[in-house]
Amino acid sequence: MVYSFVMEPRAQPATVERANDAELARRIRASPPGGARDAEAELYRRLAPRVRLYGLRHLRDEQAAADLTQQVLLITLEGLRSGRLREPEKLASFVLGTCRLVVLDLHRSAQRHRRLLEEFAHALPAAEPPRSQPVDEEKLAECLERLAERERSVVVMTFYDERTSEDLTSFLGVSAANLRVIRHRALKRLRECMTGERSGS
Amino acid sequence: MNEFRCANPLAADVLADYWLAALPPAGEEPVEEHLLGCDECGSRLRQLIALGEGIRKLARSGNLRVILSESFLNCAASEGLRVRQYSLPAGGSVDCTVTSEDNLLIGRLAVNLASARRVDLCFWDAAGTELQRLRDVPINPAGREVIFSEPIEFMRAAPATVVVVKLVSVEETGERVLGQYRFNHTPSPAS
Repeated sequence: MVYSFVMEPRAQPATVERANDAELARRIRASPPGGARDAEAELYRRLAPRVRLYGLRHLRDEQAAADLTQQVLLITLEGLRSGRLREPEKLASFVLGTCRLVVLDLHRSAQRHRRLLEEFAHALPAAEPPRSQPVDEEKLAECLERLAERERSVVVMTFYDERTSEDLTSFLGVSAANLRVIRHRALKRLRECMTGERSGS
Repeated sequence: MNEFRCANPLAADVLADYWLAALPPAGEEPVEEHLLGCDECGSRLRQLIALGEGIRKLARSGNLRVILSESFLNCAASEGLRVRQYSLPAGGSVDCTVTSEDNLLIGRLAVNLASARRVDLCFWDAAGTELQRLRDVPINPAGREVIFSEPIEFMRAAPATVVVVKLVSVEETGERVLGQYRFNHTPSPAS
């Protein structure tokens, strides 16, 4: 089956944009196939960056996260159209379950999914993943300088390979809980220094 | 981005733990479910990712003066960074330089840290003036050296110079020098 999307001007953009996720899901579910294109496009636009974050966290790779996003949203929209997703209020649970399965599947059969994507990718609406502004490096270097030595070492070594590490606890001679406290205090100070605001958490 | 505000934002430390895979497995599910329904917290997570990306970029640039671990250096070398290291015993002296091909400039100071609680890393010039002091550097009392990264661009641009580095134990009764190390820097012809 090939899913065809034609990106047309939205008939009621305000209505679609103001609907929450569950309302969009309900609208897609209640419509005949292809009858709720606006809702599908809006839901895709919202879910794509969220699924991409999940993909980045679990796959640590931009392209793999993009592949995951397309596959998960394909399955989600199909689940809504076919009525398989019975409770639109549980959309996030359904998407999370799908993310997990697809990640497992991606690990198992990367090749098969590449073929699937080649076949269906053109049929999905486009959604540019939102990206945060890159940080001001000069300011970040200045803020890192202001951290206590221990905090600077912890954030540099933590984010260098984006993993918490047993090496860090043995390097510092502290427990994992203490390391966590040092890391959070350092990140809080960095955020405050970068934004010029004091935060509560 | 839609207009819905998050009624129950995830705490910053939870987002950081999530990104760093430091949450217990049972703690991940509610966070992920929340993120799949919430653009506001997703945006905060993206900011954290961008911050981490910036830190990594700075670390790779070699322009931070920071205390590092042996396994960090191994990781950097395995990623293809060229790490120039100078290892000195306490009281030692070394002729050193840095080239345009180097990515990280590292000093490795052998020291007995067994009795130390707070250690400062101090940089002196040859005339005996303290130039900079890194206070309370991270140490493991069981460790036998302190590894630090020196800002590489600064050293590439530096003229021939002598830097004396001291590891100082700060105690209630005063300061005790644990080790003194002399770096005789000359610019590389290739730099």
